[in-house]
Parts: sequence; structure tokens; C-alpha cells
Amino acid sequence: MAQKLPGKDVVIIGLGWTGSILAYELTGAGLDVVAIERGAWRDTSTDFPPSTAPDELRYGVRLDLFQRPEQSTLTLRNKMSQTALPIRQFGSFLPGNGVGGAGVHWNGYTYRFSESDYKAYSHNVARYGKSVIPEGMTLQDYPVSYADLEPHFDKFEKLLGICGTAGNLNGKIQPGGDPFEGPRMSEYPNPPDQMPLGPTLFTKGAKELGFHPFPVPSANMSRAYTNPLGVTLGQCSFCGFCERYGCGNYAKSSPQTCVLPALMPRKNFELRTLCNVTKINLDSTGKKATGVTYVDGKGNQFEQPANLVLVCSFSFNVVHLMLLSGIGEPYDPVSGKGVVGRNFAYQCTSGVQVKLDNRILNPFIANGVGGMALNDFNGDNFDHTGLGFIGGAVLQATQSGGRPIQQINGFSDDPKWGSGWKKATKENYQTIYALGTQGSVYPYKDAYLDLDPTYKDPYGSPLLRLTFDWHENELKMSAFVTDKLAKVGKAMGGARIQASPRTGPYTVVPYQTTHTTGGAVMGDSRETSVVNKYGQSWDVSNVFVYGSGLFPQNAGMNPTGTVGALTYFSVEAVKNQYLKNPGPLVPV
Amino acid sequence: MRRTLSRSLAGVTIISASIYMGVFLKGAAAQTTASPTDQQMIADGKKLVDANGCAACHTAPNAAPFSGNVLGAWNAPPLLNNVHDGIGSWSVDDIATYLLTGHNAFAEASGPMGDVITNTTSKLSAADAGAIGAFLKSLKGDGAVAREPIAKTNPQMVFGARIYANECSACHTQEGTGAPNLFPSLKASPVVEADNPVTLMQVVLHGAQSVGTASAAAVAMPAFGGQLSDEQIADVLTYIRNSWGNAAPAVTAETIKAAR
Amino acid sequence: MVGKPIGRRHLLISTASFASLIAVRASADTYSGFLPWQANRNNLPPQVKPGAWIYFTPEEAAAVEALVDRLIPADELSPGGKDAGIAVYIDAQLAGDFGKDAGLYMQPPFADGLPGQGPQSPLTPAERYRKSLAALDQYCHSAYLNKAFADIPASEQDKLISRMEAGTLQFQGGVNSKAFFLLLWQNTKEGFFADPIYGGNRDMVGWKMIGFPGARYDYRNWIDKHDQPYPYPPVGLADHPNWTRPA
Repeated sequence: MAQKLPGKDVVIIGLGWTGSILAYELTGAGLDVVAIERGAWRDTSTDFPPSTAPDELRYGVRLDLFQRPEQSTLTLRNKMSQTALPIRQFGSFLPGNGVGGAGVHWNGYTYRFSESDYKAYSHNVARYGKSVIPEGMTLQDYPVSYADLEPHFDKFEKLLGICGTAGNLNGKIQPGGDPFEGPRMSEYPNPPDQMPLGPTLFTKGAKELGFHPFPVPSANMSRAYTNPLGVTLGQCSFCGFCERYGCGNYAKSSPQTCVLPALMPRKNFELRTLCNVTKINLDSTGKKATGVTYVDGKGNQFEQPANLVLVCSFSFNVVHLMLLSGIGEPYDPVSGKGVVGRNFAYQCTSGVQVKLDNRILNPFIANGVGGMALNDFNGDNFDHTGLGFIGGAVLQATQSGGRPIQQINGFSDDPKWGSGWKKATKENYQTIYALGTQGSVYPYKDAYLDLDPTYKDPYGSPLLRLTFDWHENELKMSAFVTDKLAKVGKAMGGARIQASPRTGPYTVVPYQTTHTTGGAVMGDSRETSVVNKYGQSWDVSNVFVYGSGLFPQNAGMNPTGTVGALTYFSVEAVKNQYLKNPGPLVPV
Repeated sequence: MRRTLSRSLAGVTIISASIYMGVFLKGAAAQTTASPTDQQMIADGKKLVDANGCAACHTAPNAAPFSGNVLGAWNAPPLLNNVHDGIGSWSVDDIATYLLTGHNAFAEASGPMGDVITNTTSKLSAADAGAIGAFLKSLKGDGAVAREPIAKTNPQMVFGARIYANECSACHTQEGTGAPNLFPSLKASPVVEADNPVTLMQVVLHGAQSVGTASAAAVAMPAFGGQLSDEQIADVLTYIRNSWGNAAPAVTAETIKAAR
Repeated sequence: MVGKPIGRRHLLISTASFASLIAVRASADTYSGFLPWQANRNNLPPQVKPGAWIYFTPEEAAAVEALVDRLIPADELSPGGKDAGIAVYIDAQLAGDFGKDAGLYMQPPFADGLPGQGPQSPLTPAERYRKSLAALDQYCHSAYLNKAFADIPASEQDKLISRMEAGTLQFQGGVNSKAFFLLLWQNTKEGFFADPIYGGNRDMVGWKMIGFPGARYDYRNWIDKHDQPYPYPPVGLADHPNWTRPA
């Protein structure tokens, strides 16, 4: 029997980027806020100081900072006709865990999608006609525009102290930045990072080809920075242990380095760790949430009443909780009706290895981002006429380290073991540079999330089931952009190039990216979305959803910038409209 | 000296007040606020220092007032304008900022001073904090006692430099400057050059969290007691006490062992 | 003591009752009004040192030492896998969380599935080593006049490893030689390149071979020194030979 606790104004499920920003903003508005987090408290000097952080086995291979599959996992199948099996060991994506969430272990790429990405359906139809949308693709517009989000991107970038060079300031194209980006109201708060050799050669090669390389907007500080919350970050020291790792010297933006030091001292904020929310509770009408039920580490069950429920956990967990709580109609791929679980999308990545004879790359001198990119083949920045696909990818030179178990590059015909392997490995270590793409993934009728009929989680609830495979549009896109990237590799001075465009079927085994999106998508209509443009449930108006689960589809860039902007966009409406007059912010 | 003091006093009220509010006005409003005379501020500061009992901690028994003290595992550094172990490098603003926020370009407060800042000095008005700064800057130094740093070729310095480059520089920087409000400077730090380095040993052995105030967040340093030997800690402390213009007696492994 | 990762919890999982959900790291923690921090909480993992085998039997240890010494043979680039401590590393890993599949989802039913659905074996890595090494020695006993894998010539060992890699070596008892090769090779690379604190990469020989400076954290003075070799030797988390003054 659940023990009922005293009520709170707001309950936040998961204390990562979105949860900590919301907690800060709403405690600042005077509300009594409790955050319930499945993992443990984490802080820089305890959990990943410089003296213990550079440990590839512990963090990179054994995944110390990540969700354990035994806590929660999902089942996978490529097609609806197959039987899904549990992901027993995470591989292709790695959900975060604990205070700070994925904001602890991320690299720090902080892009804004291009203007047309937020209107992907109407833009592509207007330019190429309706026939450009393949059968089964459920592409739709975001219910917000780039212009709606711009001030919120600005706020998020200043919170994090993003390092970069503006490419478009108030409509004026700036030298050295990304000419394809939407207009920005202000320059990045910090200058770009210094560039190691690899990105420097990429810049030279890309310019020779007439492309437009720019420094990737990075959350790895190029200098010490104090953010508007009064929290100071240090300068990145290029240790080469960034993604999968916590930052030891306060130099990577994270909830720990940007928000929590200002949030935690507040008396009207409370954090409960090692507590897993199992259900959002509804009243008898089913239209109002009364709070959440959670289970602590001892198995004790509690009911936490609250006026407002903010769902801030990782995208899969958001969808899982919505389905378990009966909020919104579950998606049915056969009839196409229902919305929860619909429009799951991912990120279509690919790589190019470039052999740079007689170079000394020192790959271990790197940070999470610290590199260059170009958007010439992203979104609709290029003419897709006759190409047979829509969408695109950012092309990047951002190798994030030279950690030897996981990051030594090599060609597929290199010896696999023995003395030959040793010789090749030694040579390759300093001379092969890895380029990569982050490609868009558009949604399909048969790519979705629902509850698994067989496998259960530790609380007895069905696991989430993912049905996903690559579609022709994405595979053609990947082949196209990877070929362009290989040309840049050649122009860098590559003596040998090995390009690996994405191929099917989708597999959970090698790591690809943790950019999973959709399932709780936002939109203008309750027929095609779970929540409105503020992340507010169409069905239960005191439940708001955050994170990449909101994306109707994924663009060809890392999602965190958009996640942050959507969060600030929503919290402004919560503070200025919802709190004054609780109820639907958009007419149902 | 006198001219430097006057110059830093002129804008102290405005600058400290603006830091306190988290807004940097860059002296634009300076003309609109009449600043009290130097002597008035010093007198006001003395009253505040006396009323708050600063001397009680910062003076050893039977020693000259404000000449520093050791309280258990923590230094209460001299509040005199000593070059090495006092606040000779700090301006009036630096002192005011430290009292109000617990942090400045040189130092991060932790230990007992952290509590003093939480409970008392962070609640001072900017003018009062400036007055305390003015008073402390009016105190004499130790006459710039010349100290010679230990030679770079000394084995403790050689080994200490290697340890520093790997375990310390990622935060405190290779130049020992740290970062304002985040990583304390090891250069021109009263705690680093204290004759009896108790605070240094405490912080390195066990770690420490600096105080958090409304305008500057708390930061923590990890413990090294479980990772470095007595000799390694002695070497790295000797190194930082004798680099970047610092000069202070060597620390021995026996001293570290006793402090564990 | 390193904060126990959640993977070390022994979750007794019941699909029927919350009451049986037991975790070693028990109750919830509640924080309000302060930024949590405690002294002396950051520490290194325990140092693995060579000595008596923890998981392996002497026969298994001999086979693994022979295997890793062929996968990473001694040559002018580095000592061999055995002298690099790779078997010591694997032994400690199999005795620990990794060997137990701690933290992974191990609920039934188990089915083979498609390769893209990831590992589906109910056997833990420790069990897979035990069965596979027994099958390997059993094969050698019948093919090489009662000799164990460790006792056959290096050239024959290489041939068998190649056949395991290709999946053409048939073991008895349904043991998949290719799957074992992949597991062994992954662990061998880990043992060659992981921090020496875990028992392998002895004297940082793996890092020295490729020029990886190890557990360093500040390269700011070398970012723009393009094409210039990094001049300082590697350091480990607890392995820094030039930090201790000669007695």
C-alpha cells in the first residue's frame, strides 16, 4: 500500500537538463517543487574528479554513468512481423541515469536545427510537391517555428555558456559561422574552442571544395564562464574523456556545472534520489493528474500528490510512463490511430576514416565537441530534386579522443589480431582520423513504441517495445552525405579513405547515437500529437512533457539545443499563463 | 601605497554593491554616489571588525593583532598586508567581494570561514564590506620580508611539478592562477604560503567544498588522501608553495603523515 | 571505496510484488536547502595485482595465458599478452561484476533472435569462459595427443585461433567458437589498453606501444602543437613511476 505524502505544487520526474531548468524556474516563481530521480546524487569532485575520471574501462566500456538494463530496458524488433527481444545490454544508444541525466555524459554539441527543419513537412511539400513524401512516412511540422524558439535558444546557450561563432546575426551572414543557420539575436556567449589538427585539416579541405565549415557549437568551455545563474564553469583542458564521462574540471556544461549549485540551496526545492516513478495518477475523470506513485530503493511505495506533473526523464521513459499511466491514446500502427508511441525516430549516423600519412594527430588531445562541421548537405540546404530522398546531415570533424579500447581507427582489411594487428594499430593511431555524419531520421507508420506483451520490468510492468528499422529515404540520404564527406576526407590529404554509410537492418549492437526521438510528439492537433506546443498533454492538462520525445521527427543534428529551447519556451508559458489560469494552453 | 589605496577606495561602494546584486555597472553610476572619505571608511571598518570579533580567530595567543592563527586543521591567515601569507595582493574590492560572496579572484572560502561567510559577512551591506576591506588594507604588512623560493632543482620541486601537472593543473592551471569564483589561485594565496600549511593539508587530504552564497555557487575539490602517498603530497605542496613567485618552507612527508 | 554502481545491486526481481524488490544500496536520499557534498568520497577502484587466480582454474589460466600471448604476441613493439597481465585482468573481470553480467537484463524467456537484437545468452561471461575453455582443451586433447592448448606449438595455436575467429572450429557441447573468440578478443584488447589498475597493461605497455599518455587531464599547452609528438610519458590512475623519489 502506497504511503501518501504531503502535497507539492510541482513534481518533476527525472533531474537532468530539462528537470533542473524547470525546477530552477518554478522555484524561482515561488512554487514548492519536488524532483524524483531514479538514480543517485552525482557531483564532480566525488563521482568523476580528474584523478579518477580518465578511466576508459569504468566509464567508457562498463558504462558506469548509464542506466542499467536491469533497472529498465526495452525490447526490439525491426518489423511488426517479428518477435521483439529484450535489449539485455545497451549498445546502439545509452540512456543516462542519475542526477544530471544524459547532461553528465554528453559530448556538448549544442546546435539549433535549421528553420526549415521545424517545418519539414510543409517546406518539403511546398518546394518539391506532395510526391516527395514516401509512402508510409508520417512527416509533420513542429507546432513551433524557429522564430518562436530563438529567444529560448539564446537563453539556453547562455545558461550553458556555449562556445561558437555566429553565422547569421539578425539576418546578416557572418564570416566563419554557419551561413545556413537561422538568424540569431546574439553571438555565442563564448568564442569557439581551439582546434586540434584533424578539424584544422577538415576546414582546409572543405573550403577547397567550396563548402562552409564552422566551429561546432560546443558546451566544452573555451574559457572560464559565469552564467546568468551565478554559476562558474572552468576552461576545458582537452583531456579526451568527455562523452560517456563526467567532466572532472567543471568545464563541460551539465546540470551539475550550470544549474544545480544555484538550485539545490533553495528551500522550496526538494530532491529525492533512488526513487523510481512507476505511474502518474489520474483522478476519476481521467482528465486531471493527482500526482505520482514511486518506489524507493527498499521497495517502499509512496504517493506524491502534486498540482502539476512534469515528465522530464529520457524519451523512452517518458513514453513508457505515459502508456503505463493511461495518458493519451496508445498508437495503433494498423489503423494509424492513437498517438502515444507514434513517430519514433532516431539519428542516422555514418563515418569516414581518413588516412593521413606522415601526420601526428595526437588524437588523445580532444574534447567532447572541439571540432568543425558543415551544413551544406543538411536539411533542405541543398536541392533534393532527383536525389530520391529528403533530409540530410551535418558533416563533422569532431573526433573526441584517442582512448585506446574504443577509439582506435582502422580499415576493415587490417589484420584483426597478432603482430600484424599491433603494427597496424600503432601506425593507425596517429594517422587515421574519423569523420562523421549525424543524419536526419523521418518518421514512419511502422516505427513506433508500445508495450511488450512478454517481458516485464522490476516493478512488474511491461517493458517498452521498440519497432524500428531503417527506411530507404534515410539509407539513400546516408549514402549521399557520406560520399560528400569522403570527398572532404580526400581534400584533407587522405591517402586512403574508407566510407561507411549506414546500412540496414537497424541493429542494437554497435554504438550509434543516443539521439532517440518521438513517441510523445508535439503538434497542433490531438489526432497527430500527444501534447501541444508547450508540451502539455491534450488529455490531462496538468501534465507536461519535455525532451526529445516531443520531436515529430529528428533533424540532421544533435538534439540538445532544441530540447533546451523547447523547455524554456514551455516554462515561460507555464509561468505566465498556466499558473494564472490552469487549464489547456491551446484549445483542445 | 597610499595612492593605490585611494584609487581602489574611490569606487568601492559602487563596485561592491553591484557585485552584490549580481550586476556589473562598470562605474557608470560612480559619479552619482558620494563616497565617504577614506578615513571614515577605515573607521567604520574598524568598528565592524571589532564588533564581529575577527581578531579572535585571526590572532594567535599573545601575538600581534591580525597576525594569523591556526585553528585545528585550518589556517586563519594574517589579515595584514603581508606579501606572502597575508592579503597584500588583495584590493579593497577583493576583500569586500570575498566577504559578501565567499569567493573572489584569489580564494574560495571553506572550513570555519565558510560558516562565517554564510552566517555573517554575506549579510553585510556592500558599504560595510567595503569598509572592512578599507580598514584591513590600512593595516601594515610584515615589511615584505624577503623569502627565497626553494630551487627548481630540489628533488621535492622536481617530483612535485610532475604530480602537479597531472593532478592539479586541470583546475588550478599550469600557471597556478585557477579561475575566479571557481578554482582558487595558488599564487599569492595566504593559505598556500602559510608557515604552517594546515589548510592546504586539510583540503588536499580530504577535499573541501567552498561556501555557496546567493551570488556565487559552491564548488568542491576532491580528496587526494587515498591516492597520493605522504611523500607525494609533501612534494606537490612544496612545489606549489615555491612556484609562480610563491616562497614558503618545504613540507615533509612526516608532517603529512601526522596530519592524516 | 568507489560508490557502488547500481549494477552491483542484487535486485531480487519479482513481477508480482514490490515488497521483494531489495537493493543493497537501500533507501532513498532526500536533499533540500543545500548542495550535497561529503569529504573523502572520491577514490580509485581497487588495484588488481598478480597472485593466485581468483576465477580461473590453473588449467584455464594456462589456456588463457597462451591465447592472449598469441593474440598479442611479444615482438619489437611490446611484450606479449601474458607478460602484459592480460590473463590477470580477465581473471579479475570474470570474478567481478562483468563476469556475472551484473546490471544487465537477465529475465527469461531467452531466445536466439536476430544478430541485431543483441546478445541473448542466459550464460554469463564467466560461464562462457568456463565452457569454452573446457571445449578448447577437450578439442586439443583429441587432436594433439592429449595435449592442452597451452602445450601445443605456437603455429598450431595460431591455426586454431584463426578457425575460432572464422567459426569453423567445431567444439563439443554446442559451444560457439566464434562467439568465444569475439568475447576473448574484446577482453584481450581491454586487458592490453585499460588502466593498469585493473591488472592488465602492465607497466603501461599497451599505451607505450601506441603513444597514448594515459590518465592525463590537461593538454592545453599542446592543442595547437600540430604534428608534434607529445613529449611526456604515460601515467596511470595509480601508476606513475616517476612521481616517487628514489629512497
